[in-house]
Amino acid sequence: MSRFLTADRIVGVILLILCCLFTYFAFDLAKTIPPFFKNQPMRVDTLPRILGVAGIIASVVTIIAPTTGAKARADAVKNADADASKGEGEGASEGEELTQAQLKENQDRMADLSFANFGQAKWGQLVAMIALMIVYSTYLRAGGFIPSTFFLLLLGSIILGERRWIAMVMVSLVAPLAIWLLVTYVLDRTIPPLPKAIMNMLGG
Amino acid sequence: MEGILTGLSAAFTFQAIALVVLGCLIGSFIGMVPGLGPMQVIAIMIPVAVGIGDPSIAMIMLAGVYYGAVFGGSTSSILINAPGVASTVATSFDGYPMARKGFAGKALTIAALSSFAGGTLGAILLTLAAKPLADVALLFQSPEYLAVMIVGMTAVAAFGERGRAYKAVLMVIFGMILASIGEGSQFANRPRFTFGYVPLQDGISSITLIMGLFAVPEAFFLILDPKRGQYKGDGQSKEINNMRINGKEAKEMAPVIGRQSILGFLIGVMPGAGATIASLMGYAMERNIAPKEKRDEFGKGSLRGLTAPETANNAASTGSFVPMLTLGIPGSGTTAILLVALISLGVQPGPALINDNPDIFWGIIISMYFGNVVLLILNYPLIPYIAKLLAVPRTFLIPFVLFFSMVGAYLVSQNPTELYTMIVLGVVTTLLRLAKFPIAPIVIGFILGIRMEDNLGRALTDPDYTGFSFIWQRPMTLVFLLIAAAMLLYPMIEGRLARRERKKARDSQVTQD
Repeated sequence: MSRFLTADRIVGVILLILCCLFTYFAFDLAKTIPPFFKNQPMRVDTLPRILGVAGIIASVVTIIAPTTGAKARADAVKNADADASKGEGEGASEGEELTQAQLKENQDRMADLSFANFGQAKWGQLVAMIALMIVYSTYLRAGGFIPSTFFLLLLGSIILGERRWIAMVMVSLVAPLAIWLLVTYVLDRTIPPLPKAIMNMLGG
Repeated sequence: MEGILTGLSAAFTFQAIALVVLGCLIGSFIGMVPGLGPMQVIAIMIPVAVGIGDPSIAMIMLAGVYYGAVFGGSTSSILINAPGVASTVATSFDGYPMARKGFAGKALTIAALSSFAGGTLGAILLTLAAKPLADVALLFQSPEYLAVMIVGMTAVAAFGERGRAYKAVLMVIFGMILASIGEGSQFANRPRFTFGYVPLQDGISSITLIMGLFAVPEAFFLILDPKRGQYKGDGQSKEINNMRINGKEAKEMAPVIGRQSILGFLIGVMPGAGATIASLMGYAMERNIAPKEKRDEFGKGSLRGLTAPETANNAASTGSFVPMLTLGIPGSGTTAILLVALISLGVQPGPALINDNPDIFWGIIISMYFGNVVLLILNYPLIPYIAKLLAVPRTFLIPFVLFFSMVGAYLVSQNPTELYTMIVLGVVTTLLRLAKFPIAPIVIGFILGIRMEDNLGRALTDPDYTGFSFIWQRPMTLVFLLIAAAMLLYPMIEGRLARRERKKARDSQVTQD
């Protein structure tokens, strides 16, 4: 990643565009307000206008904020890390440095992937999974809860590389049934369990 | 006192007790899974809570889930060096070495006792603080509310993201923009930003939002990075043998627990500074004040080093309920999600809660004592056995997390649009997290957005003020707003000064990126 095109700035630019659009629509809202309400101190577009402008300011700050800060901070943490691994430090500043080192370890452990190790991530699996979720969302009603969920869980495991077929089929069969029973009898909500055609035949 | 009795009667029904126990078990089980923490567990359990219907019982169950999840994270930190969430990372500093030395049982006992003590002492402080705070809050009028909400959001940004507060601010605004879609507050009883698309008229449902913000991206990250949350240890779950601690050890723990409960609680009360910061600060503080020979044990299985973060973590979790229960302002992602649960159950959180729904208010507080006891007597002996079942393969886990999220969102309105919204939010959140933007501020902005609009509307239409004159006509409002501005600007100025100094210090160094 180049020095100036940081992840912060990319997101900042995208959000700036979105905020500008939002602000445009927020000011455009005035057209839809009936004349009587126009002179009210609080209108449907009062807060959106404030938000839009505030959003533009915040995204501009995100874009123009110096990148050197991040590097300096990383250095500071690195130094604190080295100090802490030396094991001994004296004086009052030690606690601060120790916390810094641990924060660093904390961040490392809990760190999300970042744009830096973009390539190693399993993007194919993610895209396939999102596609599966969209298909499930679309056909959940028509396909019925139990069959749809069976395929969701089974195909989900397959996408992720699982090949223990017996376990997969068992889990994918039992789970939708159990959850459907829970939703229907405990939560008292109705989700059609079977495909529409069959439900119609059953008179459901 | 009367209120506490109301809470007791709400919490001590068979149904409530059974649900707390169940909640604790589910919470600790899912909380042990690397990557899934309290926020994800509570998000997934909200549809169940809404299904229960009775708000006080539902919240009592969710409180059980919360404590269970926090404790589950500690367990996996100690046993396999795999903290499920950031707030238990400090637990693994000394908990895991202790387990490696063959004292896994003892480490679990210390963790259980410390979290019990921290949670219970925190709950006592909360009981004492809640009523007076809510009384003060009742004096507030719309301008003060508005100002306090702004303080809350600024604090979340300032404490949560040191030196990068503007990113958190941007996320808060993003959340508020999402909240303004559809029919907003009473002053905006006309759909806006729906572009004629009918399912958007009700706006984005808060349940869909938290699924899309917390549960779905976590699953996406588990897909993207198979090694995520995996441990750096020697890969073996530790044998759990003797779980006893002796009197000398108990004596060493006691002062640490006392100090860290209070410190943790106070940190938890501050919006934005939650359990993670409390546990790390508690650990560092105990290390600093420990005598020389005890200090050397830190990192190698120190008793104090395990007690401190566990106590502080739980006290802070309890402390974070203070602003949520008294002001209706969430200071952390977890309390924001609990607030979503409350709102979904039809309860309006705020200072009026304590008088209008004392059963819910005190029920939640009582359930904290109760959840802590349940964890100690029921969960803790079971933990070793549950831990053995820990190895749910990710190939099964991930589809289930996604499935539960989708069912939860679908139950909101039985409309595929909810699911599409959730998936889009999940993808957007994943990208934001890749760019290291904080996510919790989005949900806080979303929840406060509508209520801010109500209070802004009330303040602006109040005949006592002309336009925004309430800002200087009401001194309390002005003070709150100045505090907010100071919190926002201070880290930026501080960062600039620190940078200048560092630059001076190593002028000669070559910078590279």
